[in-house]
Amino acid sequence: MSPRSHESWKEQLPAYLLEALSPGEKIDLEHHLGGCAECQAELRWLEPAKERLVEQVEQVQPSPGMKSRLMAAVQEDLEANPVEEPSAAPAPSEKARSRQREAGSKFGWLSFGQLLRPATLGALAVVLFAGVITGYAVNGGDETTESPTLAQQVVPFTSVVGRADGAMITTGSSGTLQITNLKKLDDGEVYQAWVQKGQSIVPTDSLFTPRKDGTATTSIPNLHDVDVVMISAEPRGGSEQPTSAPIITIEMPT
Amino acid sequence: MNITPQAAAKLDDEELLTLVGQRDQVAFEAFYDRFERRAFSLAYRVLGERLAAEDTVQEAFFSIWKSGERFDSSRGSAGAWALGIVRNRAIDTLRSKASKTPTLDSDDDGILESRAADERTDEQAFVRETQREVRGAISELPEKQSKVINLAFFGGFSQSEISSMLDLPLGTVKGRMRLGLEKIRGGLADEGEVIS
Repeated sequence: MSPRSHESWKEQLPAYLLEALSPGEKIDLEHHLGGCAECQAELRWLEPAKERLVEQVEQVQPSPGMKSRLMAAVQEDLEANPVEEPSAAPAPSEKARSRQREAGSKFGWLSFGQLLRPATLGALAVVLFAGVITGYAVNGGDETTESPTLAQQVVPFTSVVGRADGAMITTGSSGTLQITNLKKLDDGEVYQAWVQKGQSIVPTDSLFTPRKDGTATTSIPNLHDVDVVMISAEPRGGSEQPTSAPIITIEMPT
Repeated sequence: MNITPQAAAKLDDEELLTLVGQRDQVAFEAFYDRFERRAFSLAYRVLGERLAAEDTVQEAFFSIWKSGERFDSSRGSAGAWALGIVRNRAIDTLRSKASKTPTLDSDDDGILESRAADERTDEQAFVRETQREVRGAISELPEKQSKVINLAFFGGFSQSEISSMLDLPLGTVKGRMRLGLEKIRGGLADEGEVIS
């Protein structure tokens, strides 16, 4: 990668503020921002423009139920996953991790169900599906001829490569992937999501890096006709073809 | 143990988020209350449907509850971060909805003719976004600046996509974004343009 001038980073800031950078550009700029006080200051200076843009959107009052449903979901999450007293705890034992995997919904993922309006709760389908498959040679097998609209679903997964686990939460045809225990990347690498449709493996724009605690969240905007979602480590900016074996493989329910 | 509502009211947004990262329910509620209306209005502006906007805001704030520690103050304010999550979820929903309706309701733009069928999700959003009524600070900008800002922020297009759609050099798109934002910010008075 050729070195970039400071000005070239700076001129990306308006697009960054407007969320108009590609995922790769965004990751690169955020990497630069982490160590550039001048760009941070410039961003801070520009930020009120974005806030003004948002504030001057015609204001519309939401229904009172929006907050009550949200807080109910938070309460349920707290009950399922109580706050722990801070301590110098050792890494989670295999037993604890196993229990967490088995619990799946109890660890907060299902709380998304609370977010649906009551009228739609009856139609909510929760799919528990442990997709544990190695390699890219996944048997699609049961391709659908009619792509049903995906209701809100939770698809837990556990990686057989490393310790990563988590869940894919789908809403309609889009999905949010929540991952824990994700392995730290080497310098210059990002995680990239791939989707398998039939025999084709297609790259997505979902590039991400794990947070310090090993968790990560990424969106898969379009899951139409997707049989399998996979995550692999790739060079920064992403790849057109996978360059390493998947560390996570999630078979999507049909 | 949760903070009291009275104490939460005295904290700034970033301090509240720190507590949210420690799963403080009261701090989360205080943070949510500060941004509820703006978040909903933003989602509604992008999606144009109340129910979809409410779902989007709920999901966005629940994700904040689950990952409040992810906020990084070096990249902007807590409010901008939260509203950015709402906006991004709304854009995801918009694209998801658009992909389910393959027919275009308007073909008045030459751009539509030249692009492949699998790109029509973007085209639909482009047509919809350019037909929306422009309000607020952005309405005071020259059209060429407001258009790129609208397409980017409320339509979910990248600067490269906008460059292709409007058949403009990428540098021009960047320049229009910068000038537009600076003008909204109140930092510029003239209507110049950067051409590269």
